[in-house]
Amino acid sequence: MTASIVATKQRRPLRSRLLGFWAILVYAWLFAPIVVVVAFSFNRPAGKFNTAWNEFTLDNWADPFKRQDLTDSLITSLQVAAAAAFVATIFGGLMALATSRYEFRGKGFVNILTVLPLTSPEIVLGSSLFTLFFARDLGLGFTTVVIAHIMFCLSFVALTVQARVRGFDWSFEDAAMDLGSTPWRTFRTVTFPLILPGIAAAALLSFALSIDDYIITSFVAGDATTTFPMRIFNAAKTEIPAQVNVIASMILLVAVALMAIGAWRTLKQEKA
Amino acid sequence: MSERPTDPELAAAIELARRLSRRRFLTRAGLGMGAVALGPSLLAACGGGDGDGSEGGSAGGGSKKLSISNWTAYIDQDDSGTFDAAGTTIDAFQKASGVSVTYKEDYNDNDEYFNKFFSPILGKGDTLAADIVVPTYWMAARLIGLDWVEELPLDDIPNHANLLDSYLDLAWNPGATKHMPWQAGITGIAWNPTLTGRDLTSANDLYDEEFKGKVTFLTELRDSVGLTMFGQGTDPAAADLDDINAALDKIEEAASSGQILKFTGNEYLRSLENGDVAACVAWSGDIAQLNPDLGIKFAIPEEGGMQWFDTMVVPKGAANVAAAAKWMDFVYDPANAARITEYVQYLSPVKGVREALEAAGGDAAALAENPLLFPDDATSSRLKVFGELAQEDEIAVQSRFNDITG
Amino acid sequence: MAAESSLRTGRKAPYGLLSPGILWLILFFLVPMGSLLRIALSEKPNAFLPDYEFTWKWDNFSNAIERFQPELARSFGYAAAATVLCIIIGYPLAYYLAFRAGRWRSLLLALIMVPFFTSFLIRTIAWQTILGADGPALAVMEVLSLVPVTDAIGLTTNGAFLNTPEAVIGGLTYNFAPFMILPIYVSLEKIDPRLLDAARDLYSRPSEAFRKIILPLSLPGVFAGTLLTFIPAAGDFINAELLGNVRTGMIGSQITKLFLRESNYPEAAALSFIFMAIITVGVLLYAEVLGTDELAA
Repeated sequence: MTASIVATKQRRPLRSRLLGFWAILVYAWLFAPIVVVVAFSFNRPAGKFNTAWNEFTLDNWADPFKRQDLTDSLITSLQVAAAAAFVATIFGGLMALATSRYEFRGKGFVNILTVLPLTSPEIVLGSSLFTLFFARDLGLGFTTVVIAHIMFCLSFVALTVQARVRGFDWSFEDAAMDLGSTPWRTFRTVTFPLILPGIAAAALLSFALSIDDYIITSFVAGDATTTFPMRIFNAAKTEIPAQVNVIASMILLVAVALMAIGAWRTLKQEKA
Repeated sequence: MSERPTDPELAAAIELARRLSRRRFLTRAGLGMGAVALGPSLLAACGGGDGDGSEGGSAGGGSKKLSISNWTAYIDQDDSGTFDAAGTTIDAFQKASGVSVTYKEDYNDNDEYFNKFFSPILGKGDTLAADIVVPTYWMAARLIGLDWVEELPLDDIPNHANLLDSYLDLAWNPGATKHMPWQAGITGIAWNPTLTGRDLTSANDLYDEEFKGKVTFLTELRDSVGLTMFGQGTDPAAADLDDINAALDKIEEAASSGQILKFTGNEYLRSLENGDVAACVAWSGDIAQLNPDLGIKFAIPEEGGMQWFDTMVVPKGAANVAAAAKWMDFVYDPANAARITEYVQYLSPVKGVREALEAAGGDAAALAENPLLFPDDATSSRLKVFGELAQEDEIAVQSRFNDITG
Repeated sequence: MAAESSLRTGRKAPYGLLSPGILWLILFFLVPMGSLLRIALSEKPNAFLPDYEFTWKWDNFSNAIERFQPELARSFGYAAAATVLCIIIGYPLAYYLAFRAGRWRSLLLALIMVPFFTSFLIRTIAWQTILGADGPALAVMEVLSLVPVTDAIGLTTNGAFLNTPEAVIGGLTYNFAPFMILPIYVSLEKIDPRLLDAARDLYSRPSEAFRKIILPLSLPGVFAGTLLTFIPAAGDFINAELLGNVRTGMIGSQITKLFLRESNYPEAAALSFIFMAIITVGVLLYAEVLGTDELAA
């Protein structure tokens, strides 16, 4: 008995250390392109494409919004992502709650319908939506883009929250209600805080997916609306100005800042 | 997905802006314009009609607004991508004509635009938002064949007379009554001497095993197949189906053996710049814009090169035909055409542009001597435009080419 | 588990919760799919005109399979390779985050998402720079004189990392890694710590505890991660276009080509449905193999 305890204690640090080392490698790999993107925001490209290092310059950061078309497309993307993430998280979260909490007729259909959009190639989702909007004479534009984004985010949200909520011990809820809490109050004070991490993750995921989407958007945006990926994809074949890197770096900075604030608050909470 | 070679002009902007400050550029353009102002207005006056600056333009709603859809970087603009900054062609036009212009660079690929907009919209008899679109010549030919474009009101476009004669006898629209060319270009071969170790002279050099895996071709069928046909000794202008298939055989074999790395649109420039590619099929204007320090060379193959052009058409049912006519007349004024060409660095279809550039002096005059912008007769005779194909043949050939390009 | 018994039945409440989402999916997913299916069975008599005749043309399907077999196989192959790589890379990281990260956990988790707040196009273009002829990856290999070795094992082709199938798989793995890491993490983190203690007491070797308790409990996460990785990866073609060559074309670009360059909507639609059918069958089989009915979507 003693021998095995000793043996386990000796082995665990090595495994931990290996795991830690692996984690570092993975993070390095995840951030390698980011390092390149940020580094090249300080590059003065020799040619039309900001993909080979030429010389260091601060000019790009001095005038990051020089390219009006890039900036406009970025704003459009942010607006679309905010709207889509908001709606998709609510609708999808409700769906996940319903499917993991209740048994009902048609549950199989709901489950299949939730997963089906994920099995469809984006090009199919995009082109089928295009035909729908076009046949109904609905003007393609900002609204149709948001509609499309909500659609494909729904499945991701539902799956993410489901993974969190499945196997959940719902007796907490029953206990609260036995103690006299109303269903709404139970939800607000017991259920929601418990599933909040899953919901938050899903919202984050939706936002990221929406900002990044190119294929579906290109079909339903029409000729008046341009999102950031559309602008980059169209221009990337012909020219990549350094401003692209600058804007991307700025987005990263904002994301990192938000994360830092979130982490700081969590740490504060844990101390309390 | 293929792109049109209009983009490099943005690089022209960067390059030009680096050499001339923006103010100097616009001043020069303005001076150039002033210097030859007399010529065009004389021409316009000779052409008769109201000529230039319209006063309030009656004819109702057809002449106060204009919407243009063009390829990227195909018109002069300032550093931040603003099309109607002071001193640009669009700005000058708006001031001279009173027409308010919406200029969009959303024409990225002929087939894509056809399938997303031309076919579903014009095919049903509806109207497009754009009053002028600028497809490549073969797409324009198709649109004209389908009767999806408006006949141009030539009486309102006196400067139509400035169109180079070679464009007046095209089989699919003699007299250029339904289209007006925007810019033309040349397809040839480009290479990186450091990687190839020698200069290339023939389209067949691209098939040299020495460069295996370091060669790219274009997704534009007429360019890749055309050059290959030249290398095989056949004539792309004749567009004989057997010859085309023989060329496709050769390309297919090279693709599956790994000789050809990939088929690209404009992104071949990046691979050239970065050294991922040693030689490729290329468009003249792109290479003219590259940083000379990179040492990339361009040549028209000795057997011949492909000539193409992008051209303005007015889609059927467009709301502002009168305004479109004014625009076309404006950009066919050699001074304006020169300003555009100076920025874009492709071949202008307008007579008198070379003289206008020479008169402007300095960098503009240097462009006037550039053989890629103003080829001499010997060079021109080596350039061919890909012949026209019947609809079923075109589809079959395109389909086979698509399978090859992966 | 206690969860099953507390599932409620026979109440109206779920339909209220479900309706906005389900309605949305029906309107903007099922209905367009229906019209696309119609087109898949149609003919386009004139390639240039947007008129479709519904003629039950099943030929579209057989033509599509015949013509695009290589790309179909290749897409699933690359996607499978990328998914496996994602599991190999992501599982240890998720394990570390769930059990070893302590208070830094949320920060580290968030850090995983940070790179993905840039457009995937920008990230993939950055990989072009890293793997390119002038890039650091090749430079390192050349300094270490390892290029002949990597050429031999196929990691590079003709001394280049870029424009190879390996680069494409690498790009796919990179772009979908978080979709694997996060779900696995979520299911690992949910494991009751008392179970872990019990496992450690029960089994003398930690690897047994892992194999018998932790691994099975994390399977829902692995399943979700596989779905979220494999399926979009199979349909992706941007990575293949930016990082690959003419022989690494994936099914997504074929469908795009049929839609955009050939005006052949019926065949494009048929190919799309074939692709989706294969995926659905694959997913169902995979769920069977993993065995829990919890996983059945």
